[in-house]
Amino acid sequence: MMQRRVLLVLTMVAVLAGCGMGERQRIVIEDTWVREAPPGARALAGYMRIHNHSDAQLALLFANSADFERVELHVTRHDNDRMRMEQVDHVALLPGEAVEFVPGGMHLMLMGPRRELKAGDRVRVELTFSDGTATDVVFPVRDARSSR
Amino acid sequence: MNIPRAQLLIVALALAAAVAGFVVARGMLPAPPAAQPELHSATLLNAPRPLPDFSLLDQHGEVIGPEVFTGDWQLVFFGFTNCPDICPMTLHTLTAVRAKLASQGRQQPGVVFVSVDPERDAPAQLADYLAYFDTSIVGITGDQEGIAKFARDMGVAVFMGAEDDHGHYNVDHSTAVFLVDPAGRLSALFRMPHEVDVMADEFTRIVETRVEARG
Ligand SMILES: [Cu+2]
Repeated sequence: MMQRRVLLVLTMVAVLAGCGMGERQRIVIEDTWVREAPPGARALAGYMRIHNHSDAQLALLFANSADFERVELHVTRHDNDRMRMEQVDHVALLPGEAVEFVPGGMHLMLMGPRRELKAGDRVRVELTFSDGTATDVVFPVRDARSSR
Repeated sequence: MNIPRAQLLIVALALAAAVAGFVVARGMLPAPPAAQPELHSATLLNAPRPLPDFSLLDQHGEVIGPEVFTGDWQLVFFGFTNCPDICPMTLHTLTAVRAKLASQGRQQPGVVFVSVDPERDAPAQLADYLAYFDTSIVGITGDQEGIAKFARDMGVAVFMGAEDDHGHYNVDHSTAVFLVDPAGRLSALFRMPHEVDVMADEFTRIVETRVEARG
């Protein structure tokens, strides 16, 4: 619990730094985590909640991480018991609203890990938004067998 | 509003015919089985369906056939190791269902994971992956054609996604979890969302119903 608090603060600091000091935080990112990959898996999923506190519609455009060959924005869709992961070219962030990246829905698709990532490790992901800002966000890695 | 008498008569006759048809149809339908458990997540098949014959590989590279499904109840899930969102979530859920049933001293099903990406999921890869969740999970892989046929016979559509310029591709697959009875017959399926408590309870109720039906 305490650890999550600290991470949240770190995340907020990172967002603030990205927007420039003194400016009101337009985007706040919280509850970030990456599911630990079982041995052999070459793709991981990252989750978070993005709040857009501004009056303008923004969008998340790209995600990058030095720890992965490639990061994509994905959504898992279900129709008639069929599951499909789809890449999206942006995620719209409506003014005053939050977007949830959750298991079975939106996720960061983290492909080709460059180092072994274990529960407790941290992954840095750079998120680039439509207003030109980019923020470095820390995602703690969590055990895939924890209930969430 | 002036409706001609003839038209009213036609409407009345049609209604009477519909009601009569319904009554007749009800009478001809087989009576519903006596004790069907009330289920929310699971859908019971009216008649359990024997699994097709197949010859594939388990995660230890051993040739396996339908006999892996006999003896115990099994929860069967289709997926692939490079699926980072739904697959680990579901495998965790299924092992949690087992743990919950075990902690309550209730009968537990085995778990079978069928790779829909056998090309990349070689036995050794599958063995490491599954052991992360539970060493008791049986993994099924083999050749693409054999897996595709097995999936089709189970009623699972598998679609290979196109490869992108990085050589990545995804496989669309069913998110349903299939329940196979100890005689190796497909007996029910659990649809999303897969919740541990609901699945554990409904599994127990299905097993109890089947035991009553036999006894
Ligand atoms: Cu994905």
